[in-house]
Amino acid sequence: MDHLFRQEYGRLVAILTRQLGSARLPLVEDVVQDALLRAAQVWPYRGLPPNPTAWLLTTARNRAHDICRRNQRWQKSEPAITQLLESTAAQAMDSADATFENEIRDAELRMMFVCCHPGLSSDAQLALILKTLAGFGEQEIATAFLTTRPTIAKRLVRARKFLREADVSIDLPADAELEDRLHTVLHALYLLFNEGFKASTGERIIRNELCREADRLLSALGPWAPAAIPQTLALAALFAFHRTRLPARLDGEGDPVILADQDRRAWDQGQLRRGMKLLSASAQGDQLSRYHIEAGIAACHSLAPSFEKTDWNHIAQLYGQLENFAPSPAVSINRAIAIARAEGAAAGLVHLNAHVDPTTVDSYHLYHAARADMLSELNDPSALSVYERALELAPLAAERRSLRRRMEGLEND
Amino acid sequence: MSESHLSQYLLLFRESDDAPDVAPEEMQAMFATWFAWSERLGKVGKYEGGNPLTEQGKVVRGETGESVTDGPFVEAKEVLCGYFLINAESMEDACKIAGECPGLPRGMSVEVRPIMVH
Repeated sequence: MDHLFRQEYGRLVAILTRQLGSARLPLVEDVVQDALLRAAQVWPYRGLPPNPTAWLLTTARNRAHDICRRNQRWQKSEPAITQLLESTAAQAMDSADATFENEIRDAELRMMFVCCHPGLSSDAQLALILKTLAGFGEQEIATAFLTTRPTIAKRLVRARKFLREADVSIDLPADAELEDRLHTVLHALYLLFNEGFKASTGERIIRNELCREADRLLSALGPWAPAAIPQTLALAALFAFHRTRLPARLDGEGDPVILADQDRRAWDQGQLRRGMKLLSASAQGDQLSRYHIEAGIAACHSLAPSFEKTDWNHIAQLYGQLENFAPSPAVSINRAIAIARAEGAAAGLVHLNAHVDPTTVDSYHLYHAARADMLSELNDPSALSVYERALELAPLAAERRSLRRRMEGLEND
Repeated sequence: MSESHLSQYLLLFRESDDAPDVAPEEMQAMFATWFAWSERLGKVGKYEGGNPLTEQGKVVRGETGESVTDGPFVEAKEVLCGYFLINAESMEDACKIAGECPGLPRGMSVEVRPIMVH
């Protein structure tokens, strides 16, 4: 029953929202929370019911029914909701079959499109996904995004208000807007995964959960034919390549380990094989996306026997393509690093100077670290002060240790 | 182990009525430990059964039951929320079992009452 509760929360919210409409999301979340609390009171004494989802669904639905019956105002304004609940109550009785599972998957899929409505900001989309589909508590979401609980609570209130006022449909998007809506969903899952994957101190468990949830929700898109486009497969491949390296990303103390220092024997070969399969499946058609390119880069890293023996030429080339698709200073810095590895520090420095505006990246430690590495290789005496600047800005102990090591190398030369 | 030397005890579980809300993930952890606990007791023939109790209840008093009031817990800080019927070797054993209740760290209390036989 690993993660049963978190999963059940999302499944129940999805299926009830599908039945009652996204405008009633607050009611749905309340009754689902109630049903879980009820389970917490009953199950310890009687044991796990044969079909926990069906048990919880019946309980949540009865609770919604109670609330609607008792609340006069609701009855006047929304007589339809009572009817809805009564008409669907019978279905819950016989819900241990495969149709029920399909129904849940379908409801989750619709819920994903509701959460990723283009009228919501990316931040709101991610918070909503985590709260409603992944069953995270507000505090857990706040921890994952390194912010406070009131901030997340406000974000969620605004998001729910938007869904109600815009009367966002629970129907899957129609053909005309399908492609755009699907891209929004993919992008939200991409951001969710990255949020969990990016190296940061502490709270590792919650952040790993973000990666796992993003991957799980992406797989939930899989069986739905319209979602089976090359971009979806490429994103899945990217997740798999990143997950390949997850087991080696922490040291014994729980501190992140930088790529160059990771023990590659600990990498997950199963995820690597999964990634390769997905990547070759994603290569159909003539559509190339940033997910394809990023998956390609992640594949190069995951396939390399060591940091030194990485195919830096290929990586430099892929970053070059990424500069066209999704230009950003971070992408240009990474390309410069790959060029420096492949062709030498001088070439890397040329790229860095030509493509990265120093004023926009002055507070970004990786820019200074990359520059210092190149200067040091060229025996430029200014390397030391640039390393010092990187050291000041580097947020992670592992990064600072690595920088100090490189600085010592400088002084010994 | 023969069960003939075991006697029956009621474990009465009480929870503080201002227990904080639990996030799904915490609930998860709580369940896992509860199920493990009752399963372990069941395997050695010590778990007989149990039930949760709702919070709504009435107390009936007076010669003809004329006084009906809301449950005994209106003024109480702790609410009786369920019971286990167990078999134990002795009061000491029953208390040891009660001491393994996973609700204790969350502020739950367990009252151990031997069932009178003779």
